[in-house]
Amino acid sequence: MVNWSQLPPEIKRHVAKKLDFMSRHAMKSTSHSDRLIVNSTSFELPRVRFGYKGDRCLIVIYTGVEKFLRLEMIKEAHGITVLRSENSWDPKAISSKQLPPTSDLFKLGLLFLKSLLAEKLILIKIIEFEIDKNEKIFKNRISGIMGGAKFRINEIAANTVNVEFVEEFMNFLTIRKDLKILRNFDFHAFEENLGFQLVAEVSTMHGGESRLRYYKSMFYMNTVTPNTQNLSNDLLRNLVRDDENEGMKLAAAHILSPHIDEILPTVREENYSAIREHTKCGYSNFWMESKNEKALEKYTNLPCSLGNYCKDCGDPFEYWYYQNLPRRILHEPFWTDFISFYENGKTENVLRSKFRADENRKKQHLKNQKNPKNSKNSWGFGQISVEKLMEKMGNFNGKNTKNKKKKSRKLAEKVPEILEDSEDFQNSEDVEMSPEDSEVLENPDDVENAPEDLFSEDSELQTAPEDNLDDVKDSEISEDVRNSENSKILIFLLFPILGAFIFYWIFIEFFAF
Amino acid sequence: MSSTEQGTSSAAPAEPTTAPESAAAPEVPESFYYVHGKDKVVHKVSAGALQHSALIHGMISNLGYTEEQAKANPFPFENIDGDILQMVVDWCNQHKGKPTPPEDTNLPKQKEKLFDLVLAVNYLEIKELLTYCCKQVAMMVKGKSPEEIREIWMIPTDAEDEAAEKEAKKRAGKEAAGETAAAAGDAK
Repeated sequence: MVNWSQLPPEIKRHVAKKLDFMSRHAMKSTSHSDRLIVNSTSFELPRVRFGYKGDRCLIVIYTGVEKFLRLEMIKEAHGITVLRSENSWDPKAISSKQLPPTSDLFKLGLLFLKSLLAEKLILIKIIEFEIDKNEKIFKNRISGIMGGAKFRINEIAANTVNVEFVEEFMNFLTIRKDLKILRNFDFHAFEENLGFQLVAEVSTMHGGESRLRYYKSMFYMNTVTPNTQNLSNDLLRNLVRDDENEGMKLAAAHILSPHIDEILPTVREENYSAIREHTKCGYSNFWMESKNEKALEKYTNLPCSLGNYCKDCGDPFEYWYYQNLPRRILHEPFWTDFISFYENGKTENVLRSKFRADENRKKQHLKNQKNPKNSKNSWGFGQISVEKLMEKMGNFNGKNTKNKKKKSRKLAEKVPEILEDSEDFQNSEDVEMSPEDSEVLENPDDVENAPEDLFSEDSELQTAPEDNLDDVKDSEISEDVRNSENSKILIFLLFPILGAFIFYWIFIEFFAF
Repeated sequence: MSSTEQGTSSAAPAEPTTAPESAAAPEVPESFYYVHGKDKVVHKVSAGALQHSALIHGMISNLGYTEEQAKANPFPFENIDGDILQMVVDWCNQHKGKPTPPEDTNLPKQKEKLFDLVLAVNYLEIKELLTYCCKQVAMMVKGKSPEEIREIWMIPTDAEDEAAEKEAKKRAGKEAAGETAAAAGDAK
């Protein structure tokens, strides 16, 4: 009978290429030879997000369209609450775990990121940062935390507030030869649409192709009118003229599915060359200084000029990502620094309710589908079955009775603020932290082992999934366990008393007789 | 020949004579080859189906067998179990001359059979089926922890590996010592 160990390395590598991100990570921990196998296979991630603001740290690893692994660490007085979810914003599908307190949440987050992604053969196409602008001490700390390890990244994206700041520390995080683009992006939110309709973009290139290319992308959610075109064209002209950034600049305005009547003729200007492309996919207007107009030639006669902003011709992930970016107003209201402009004071709330209605409609549509896709959750992001939960509760209970004398601290669970608009989030069970567990993060040398601990399910209790645990909530199970504990105590106490009473009665009866 | 091909060829004005000829040409009878596995059961497979296997395809082109010769000398694959070879032959027949679909749900779910199939397919160099099998193997461990993966794939831990290696060394040492002692005894 053949088993895994007997397969030749090239087959193992073939299998490793087909593994999803977390299985790949899990396989590295099975044996030394499998770690070598995994480390010798390449893996590409379309986008990763890293956020650090206030007492929160966020890691989102996107693996495809509507496929992502999300980890949010929230620092609280009694410890770190880690919220985990996969491919879903349903509050009931979010599981939580408690980690012991740590003084440095940023370090913890970056170490997680390092342990997951700092590999020679993992290529991150885009990493997006959202970091508190008041934090100014990263530059020195990052190199210390990374300890020489670096990520392979093609593009760094950040909002306007963060971009300069990110530029200061990016060399400590990335391998320079892989990095091609630094993008500064922001969103202008309008109530009319759920996604962007116009993108105004300027790219600046310094010297040869190997040099870093700077992009500034502004997304507008309003329906394109002559007025908005005038505004965006003015903006592009100003950006091309910008003397602060030296280099060859190309400005472009991309309009998705415009009405021909609404398109304004291109305004010509001295010393500037412009071309317009109107294809079946949309409309684009390119601007450049006349001295660089040769570079404009490659943008003429394109079958589609929208690039990745086109639904049909562009990268499906990129299109999906940017079209759904404003949905963070609903899903992640804490992480919306990229929205630099709201149409008015009510826009945020109006959009939130529109997004909620749209998400409900999508959910209903999925429910009505005859064969809904039923894919397994990744390691560390799965929902726990009733049997397994009961088993874990049994072990948990046993462990508690054995370690009664050991000092343990009970961590209360809070409804995280991230889910402030979702009242139906199911709290996970309070986790009794054993002294062994609490050592994990208190010792700074062990902090690198934290990711394994984070994904392990030994000490975790997750929230119940919507379908099979609706009526067996964690709190109820815990209540049952406590009840059984009480009944045991009652039996132990009552049995000797009852026995003594019966013997006493027999004794009295005997003597009376 | 399909109707669309006929239409195109008859519409071509440059070669009016060749088109009706090719349309009327009788179909070339398909040639068959024979393979057998460890169980010596011979399977009859068409040349079209065998094109999936780079190994067998290469053997056919190099040997230039006639159908009689092929019948008399089936290709022996002594390292492949009979049932596994049957699976491979069935798959090749099913996908003969067809574009391969993105997923194949007919692959075995039991890991022992799947690993055997992977080895056989790798040996026979059937690229598409190898991709499906590897995907299936990868799906076995989706969502599993390292301990569970170890259990499913029967991966020994590093400590177990080391212990097994030590034992093997010890055994080899003992055997070598026994042999030298026997040789010394013979010399005496």
